[in-house]
Amino acid sequence: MTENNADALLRVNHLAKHFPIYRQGFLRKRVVNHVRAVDDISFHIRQGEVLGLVGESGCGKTTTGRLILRALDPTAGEVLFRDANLGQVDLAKLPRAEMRTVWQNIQLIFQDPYSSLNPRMTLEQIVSEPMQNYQKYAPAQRRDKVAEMLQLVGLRPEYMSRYPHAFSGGQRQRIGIARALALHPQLVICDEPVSALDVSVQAQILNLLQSLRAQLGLTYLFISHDLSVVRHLSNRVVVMYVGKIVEVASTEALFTDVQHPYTSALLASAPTPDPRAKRNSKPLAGEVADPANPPRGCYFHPRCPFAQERCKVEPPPLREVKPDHWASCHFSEKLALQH
Amino acid sequence: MNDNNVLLEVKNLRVSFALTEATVQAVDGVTFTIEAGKTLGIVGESGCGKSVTARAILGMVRPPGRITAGEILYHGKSGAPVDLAKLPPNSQEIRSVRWGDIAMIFQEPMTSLSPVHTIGNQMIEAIQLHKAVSKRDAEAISVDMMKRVGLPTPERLLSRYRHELSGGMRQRVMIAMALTCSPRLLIADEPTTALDVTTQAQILDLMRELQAEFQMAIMFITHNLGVIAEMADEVIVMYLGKEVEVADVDTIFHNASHPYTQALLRSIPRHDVVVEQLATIEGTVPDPTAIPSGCAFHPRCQHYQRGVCKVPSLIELSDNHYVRCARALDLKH
Repeated sequence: MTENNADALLRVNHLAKHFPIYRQGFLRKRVVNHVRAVDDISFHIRQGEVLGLVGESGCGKTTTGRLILRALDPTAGEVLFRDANLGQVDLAKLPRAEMRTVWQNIQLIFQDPYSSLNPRMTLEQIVSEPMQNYQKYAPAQRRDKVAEMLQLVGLRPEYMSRYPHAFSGGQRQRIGIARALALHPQLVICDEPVSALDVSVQAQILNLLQSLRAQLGLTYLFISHDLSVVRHLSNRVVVMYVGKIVEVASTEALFTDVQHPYTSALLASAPTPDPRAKRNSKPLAGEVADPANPPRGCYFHPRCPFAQERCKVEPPPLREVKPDHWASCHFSEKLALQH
Repeated sequence: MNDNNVLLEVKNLRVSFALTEATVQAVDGVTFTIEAGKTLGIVGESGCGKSVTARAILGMVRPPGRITAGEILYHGKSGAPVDLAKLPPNSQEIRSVRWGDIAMIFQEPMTSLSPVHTIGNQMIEAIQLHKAVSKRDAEAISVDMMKRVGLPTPERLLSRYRHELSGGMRQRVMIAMALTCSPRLLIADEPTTALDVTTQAQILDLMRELQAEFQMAIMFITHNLGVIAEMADEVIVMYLGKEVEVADVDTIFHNASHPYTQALLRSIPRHDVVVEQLATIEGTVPDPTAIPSGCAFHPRCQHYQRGVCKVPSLIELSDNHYVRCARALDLKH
């Protein structure tokens, strides 16, 4: 994307991750194909904003988060991050040793609050572990710091000596948030942070994330399959489909003036909690394309109600169809999309 | 309500699980009816007893759980109603009702299908258990049902295994299997929770189509209020083993009277409405071994009044609108 992003904290350029598919040959395994989990995507995250990354399972949203963290090595592309200590660095090529420095500034909040906390560690150990790893604060100070973090996320500091099993899902997610924020990161990647929680607890965690962002001036990459959660929290939204970005816009523009048929279908499929608002469109037919064997042209064309001959042969580029509103569809301007 | 239309009556059902540390009252005196051809939605958070209620109807409560009280009257096509709660879990009678008259689909189609048998073998076995048909006829029925649920090339799918199918296709196979014996009631326990939204929309549409075609009732269990709004005619909101509000779907969403229902509706983010900050319900769902005394919701309720909120009974607020709240009448004004 060539838009003005001088204030970007993170810039992703032509990022790709192709996983090889092996088949056992006569003597050795050979690569027969690739799963294009993330396929040439570009976007940026501005300082202090919440960027929502939304799509269905297998669209590459989690892989994107992991590529930014370098939990996976990218196949191609750049991940430019304005690190507080190192200055502008390309995370895609940074040596592992230097990545370690960056990791204190990029933290992750996981989906599953049950498997992401070590059951044999107390809350104090869990939250102070990152401080130890990075030699932050004098050991004597760490206890106070943990207490402060717990208070920040709405847990009583007295709980410090307890183990995770004593807490409910929502409380565990708070512990995970305290751990992620212990080093005051610049960027927090939230990967489906409320999907595993009960409905009544989701709102508490969403409100907490919202107030922490304002209070600490955090920047979030918010990955979710849930459009309503993304709308509630994000300033801008990136929509992915089969490893590619199909639409990028401000949250307001995306939900009121959708430009890509896939986003439109996604919005129309989401059930509305109001029996008077009956869904009027037919659901999208067919299934998500296989990222190992995507269709020619636009990946969405076999399911697209507006597909034409051109869509079957020519892949649409992501282009600015309205000011600051990007979509990868040949016919955005000609379609009157709604949901 | 026309009595002739009643398909299933659940009266004062109680299911408890005797664990070593305590006895959990998973379902604590629930009463409801399901009418033929209608959809009853049961909504609630984890531990509210919605899935256990469904399992109790099918005689599928696993030990140490057991039905300790209540009746589950099934009004069959002919004769007197049968009390499913009294039938031994593995008796011939309950087996003929289960799958034959009442079928069930689950949240995880992955785990409800066998990994080592082909889709065809599983379907044919299920059909032959309930119908005296030859293997070839059973195969024909399977192919026909798979076509009805929109599965492509059903003949080829018969020889496939579950891991070769996508999540949406697996759930279609489960629905096809459930419908092979033309059940009068389909119990769907979170059938779309593990699916993507576009697939969810397809499955919900399919269920509605098949409901009209087969004239069957659906008991739809979910935690998703959006799905409930889209599917249900009547709704039961459950909290900690009890129904706290029962009404038609429009009343639940536009005139909810129980503080829990109201708070749930305010706390969900919506894709069609923007709010600055979400309302929250304080605290978390209590541990089922330590259910709060009095009204079980009182520690989280913003309308709690000392001395007033004793154990509330289900009161009829208006026509067919029931609420379990001691303050329901004075909160209405």
